[in-house]
Amino acid sequence: MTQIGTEFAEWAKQKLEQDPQFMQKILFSDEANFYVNGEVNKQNHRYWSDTNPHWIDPSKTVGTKKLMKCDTHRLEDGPPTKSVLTREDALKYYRTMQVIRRMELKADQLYKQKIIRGFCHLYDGQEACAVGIESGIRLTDHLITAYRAHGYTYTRGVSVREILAELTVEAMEPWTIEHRVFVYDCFVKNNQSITAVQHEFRCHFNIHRNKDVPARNTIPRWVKALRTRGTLMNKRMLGATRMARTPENVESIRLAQLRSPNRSARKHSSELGLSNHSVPLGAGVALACKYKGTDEVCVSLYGDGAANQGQIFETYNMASLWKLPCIFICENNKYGMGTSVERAAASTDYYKRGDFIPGIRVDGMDVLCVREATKFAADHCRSGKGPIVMELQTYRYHGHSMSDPGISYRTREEIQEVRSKSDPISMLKDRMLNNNLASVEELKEIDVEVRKEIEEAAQFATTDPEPPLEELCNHIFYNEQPMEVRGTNPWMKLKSIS
Amino acid sequence: MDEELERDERVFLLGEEVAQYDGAYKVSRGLWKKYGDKRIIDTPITEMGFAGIAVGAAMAGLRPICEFMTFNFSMQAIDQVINSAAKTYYMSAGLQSVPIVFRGPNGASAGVAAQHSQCFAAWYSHCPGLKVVSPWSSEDAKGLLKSAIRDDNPVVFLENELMYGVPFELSEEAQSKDFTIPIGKAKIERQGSHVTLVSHSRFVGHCVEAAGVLAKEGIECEVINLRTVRPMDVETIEKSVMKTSHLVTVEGGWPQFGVGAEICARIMEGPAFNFLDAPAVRVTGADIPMPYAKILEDNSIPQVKDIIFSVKKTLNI
Repeated sequence: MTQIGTEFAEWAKQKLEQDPQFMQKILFSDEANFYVNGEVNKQNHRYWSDTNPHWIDPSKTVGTKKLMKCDTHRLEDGPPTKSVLTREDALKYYRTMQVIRRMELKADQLYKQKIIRGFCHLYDGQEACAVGIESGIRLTDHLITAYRAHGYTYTRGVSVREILAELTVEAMEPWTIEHRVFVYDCFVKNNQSITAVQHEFRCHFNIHRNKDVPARNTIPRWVKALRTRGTLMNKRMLGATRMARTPENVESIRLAQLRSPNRSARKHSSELGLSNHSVPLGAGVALACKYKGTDEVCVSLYGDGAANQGQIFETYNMASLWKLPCIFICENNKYGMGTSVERAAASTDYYKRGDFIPGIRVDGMDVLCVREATKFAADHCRSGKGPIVMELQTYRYHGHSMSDPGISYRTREEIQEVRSKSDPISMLKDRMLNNNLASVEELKEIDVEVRKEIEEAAQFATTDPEPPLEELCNHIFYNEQPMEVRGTNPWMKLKSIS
Repeated sequence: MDEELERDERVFLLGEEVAQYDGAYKVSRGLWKKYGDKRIIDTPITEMGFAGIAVGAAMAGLRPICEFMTFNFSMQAIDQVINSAAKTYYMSAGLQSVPIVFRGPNGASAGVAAQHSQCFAAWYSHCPGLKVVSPWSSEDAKGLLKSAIRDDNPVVFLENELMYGVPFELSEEAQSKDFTIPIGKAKIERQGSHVTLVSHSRFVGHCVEAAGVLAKEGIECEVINLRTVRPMDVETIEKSVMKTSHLVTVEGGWPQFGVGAEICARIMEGPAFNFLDAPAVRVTGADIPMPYAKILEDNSIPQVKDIIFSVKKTLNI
């Protein structure tokens, strides 16, 4: 154990000897993780100084980092092992990764509240991949991925608000806990008159007379739920049943300025419902880039699970034959749904699976490593050498999707170990602090800002009205006259506008 | 295709043997010599892969024509056609269109047996987001293909191998470079007043022939060439049925859940039902995988005599 660790342990022991109830009397503490091998994770340390901690030495705005050397296949040299990180870039990457992390955790929460339905595949743990890749390619390059896409949708320019709004768009019951608490109080106050409650609800929340308020049978249901089960939410308690150790501190949101949420959605990123489509489609986009003579590249992402699909090899063949400027990136998060890579692939060297296509294996938890490798790959493609395969070794903290607790095929210890040793955000943070590129306060400020942004986006998404029924049949065809579409019975003739 | 390739830089053709081989059925003969490797691309035998690549290119702004050597091979790639091409515009709420044409010979040929003779009109027409077109004559083929290439949506263009070699007269108008036929409108090939015959692709020819034979016996058939299977031009069929009161549909595919089944269902749900004097009848391929032996094959697809027989039964003659 380290010196500090030993001292602390001695101090705690002493305190306990003086007062056995000491531990229960602690109001709050900061966490720091100590490891037997001597490492200390100092994420929550506060620094006190007598000079303004915001002041940063301008000569120290740039840090040079040494990166892990990447394994290569059929390549003479790999990406550089040294990388320069400027303060500006570092802050940008940090913020983006935090946004993605918070957004995914928020999506987790919304899913448990049943505001998000269907499937929800979360990206936390893999943020360095999205951010690293985006910083290695240009805005005009293309990117195509499969369903674990929230991270990429954000890095390619869609705002958090739009992402969450799309996920929550089918919210059948958009009543948050605030609404419900109000309803309960109102109900008790008004002597159980439901009409009065509805009227007050409408006034208090300023709901337009044509829009819905909680229904006649919803209100007593909520009241009963609170009285019998002790909760106002539908079935599960908010987060209580989940055992996974998510470092969620959503309750400590402070008011801060909202960063501009307006970003235009760009066409380059597509979210597909199936896991393996992205590869031939990405090669198709690359074909178009080559055809049009632009020097754009296309990044096609797929996971370790999809990496064994036949169409990927068909695509490797054609991309290599025709020298398409396509970067195939395999995000290897060690598990294809619930099957670990050893049980699914005869060869887990995904960067070599392209066979005649050169490949690089990259540490996907280190944003700088990903960035350098992506730049290297993009240059390779742009110079007309044809496609290249990149394997990003990364990890996802959540299960495959929200319906998967993620512990039946792996241990909690494993998740915790990755989280403490190789968390991408902590890695970047440590680097930034060690090189004095930013102060702890600054990063804390960014954290708070980010939480505010996500909370507001979630608020917008959950109170956003559902799409009107008239939109049901729109956008079947492009550039087409309005046409009639048959509904669920022969008399239902719906209109479709393209 | 030549005219469309010339007209629009973004159009290109890819498929097996389309370039140096001049096309498996010689449909793309001479194109490679004229346009070269960039616009006429030979692919390896990997339907799913190249269909996906074609769809990706369409998403990126080009206008590919993806040729399947026969539509039977499209089953390898059907996931890309339906899930990537047809559904994308809807799924992206209008952000991402896919202007692609999938074409190739469909249905029975001569002696190619079960795995090479299936008709896919019903399979593809089932899906919203796709347009399915099935020409009969040369005029149909030219006009519809041009419309399909110029259309900004995924179109499945079902040709017929046996029709490739059949010559038709082209009117002056049809010979122009900008001759297009609107997708979604059927054509009445022959006027009549006793019975309506509805068909698509090769069997329109059979219907016209049957109508010729029946005319000698005093039965006037109205022959409708669907041209487009999806979206189907039900108005034309309804108008015709309201005139003749009898309906016989003819197609090469299997009967269960086929094109004829859809036509009958739509007629039933529409105003034309009240005008029918007899139940609508379907003439279809036999409900078996296509046999090889000639005599068996001949009895598995609708012949002119089947049509004549069905018409007479419907009219109770």
